[in-house]
Amino acid sequence: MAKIISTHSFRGGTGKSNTTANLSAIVAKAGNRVGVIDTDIQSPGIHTLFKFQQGLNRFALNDYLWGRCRIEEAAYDVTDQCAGNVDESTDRTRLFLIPSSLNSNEIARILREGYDVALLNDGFQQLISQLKLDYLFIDTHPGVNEETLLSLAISDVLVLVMRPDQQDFQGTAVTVELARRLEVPELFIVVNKTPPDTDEQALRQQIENTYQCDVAALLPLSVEMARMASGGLFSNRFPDHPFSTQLQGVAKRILR
Amino acid sequence: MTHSSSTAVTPNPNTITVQLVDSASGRIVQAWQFPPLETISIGRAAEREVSIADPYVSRHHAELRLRDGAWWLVALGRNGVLVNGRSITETEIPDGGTFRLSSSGPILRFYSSPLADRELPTLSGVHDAAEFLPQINTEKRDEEVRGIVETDYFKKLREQARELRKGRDTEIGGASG
Repeated sequence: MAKIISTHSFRGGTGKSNTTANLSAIVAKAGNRVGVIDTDIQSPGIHTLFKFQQGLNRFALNDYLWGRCRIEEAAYDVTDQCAGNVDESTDRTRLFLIPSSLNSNEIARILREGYDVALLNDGFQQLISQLKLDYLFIDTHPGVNEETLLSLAISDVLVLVMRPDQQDFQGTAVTVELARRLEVPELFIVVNKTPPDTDEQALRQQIENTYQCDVAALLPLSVEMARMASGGLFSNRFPDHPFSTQLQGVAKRILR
Repeated sequence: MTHSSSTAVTPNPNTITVQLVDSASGRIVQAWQFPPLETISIGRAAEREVSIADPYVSRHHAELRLRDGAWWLVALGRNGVLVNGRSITETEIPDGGTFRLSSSGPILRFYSSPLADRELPTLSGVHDAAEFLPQINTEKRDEEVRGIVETDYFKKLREQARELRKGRDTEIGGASG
């Protein structure tokens, strides 16, 4: 039975897509078939981390939602970017990306007309079945709306990414409560962009006490990450960096 | 850890201190204390006794080594170690000596004798966790949550999620049975 993991933030700029991409790659490299779907249709971006080039002849999630293709036709094998040197005949490790369209007309149409959210759920199940996925990561749009609530509702695991920042605290509290009401089986917080001289133990304790929720990782604010500028998978480039080793810990929880 | 304003010296089992010093202000940013040791490794890797996440710091940048009662600073990383602005391979380092990891990297200060409690870095040298204390307005949170969970969409979604999970549990039970 495939596991569905949603990564969500109340606000943008928390590093959610970087976290999703790196986490999915770590899980895939553990010998799994993994899908990553970018449901942030209004501001897609995770594809850059897999160095995926969107082209005129390539389908995206938007095409599926408008009935132009089957969802698996918008799935692209990016295993090379994730693990590299994996024999094409190998069943596992595999990582598939389902990107959202960068086309401004497509984005404007979504904003103008919306779409049938139920189709998303059908799409998730179809992806799992057709691609024989072990794990499906959903990179959600920030904030609370119908599609993010849907992702929360169908997820086995919800990873809430936040910064130690007053702008994130209140909204994350709302999302935690909604996730509880939706009875998401597993929920934990990842604190990203933690300044280098932070008392980590105290911060972890404060957040766990406030939200009554585990902190699965404290990811450091990193000069190397800023320099990489979402141009690739950080955990591949810097596997021993604290950012990567912390995410490996999160992956272990997901792989349980 | 609290800062004592008393002048009395409290015995401290940790006799060795390495401090990370902010180069602009001279303020102590972080400090590591150790019981008697013969080698202290310094670098970017998490397993180092002194681990510093800085792009100018090599994974295993340097070591402090105790030899015949004196402490030596040994450069290991390719970015070099500087003492008084000069690159060194290895040099004896005195109590209170400072050195820099690479020409653009962090400055460290080394103490081989116990520091009195009042000289230890205070929480002002480490970001006070209270700066990050999540401040939640629970009334506002509950009001926002109420506004969402009482919608027909949310109620329907919750029921659908329950059915979906029930179906999955049945499928898992059937597969394992």
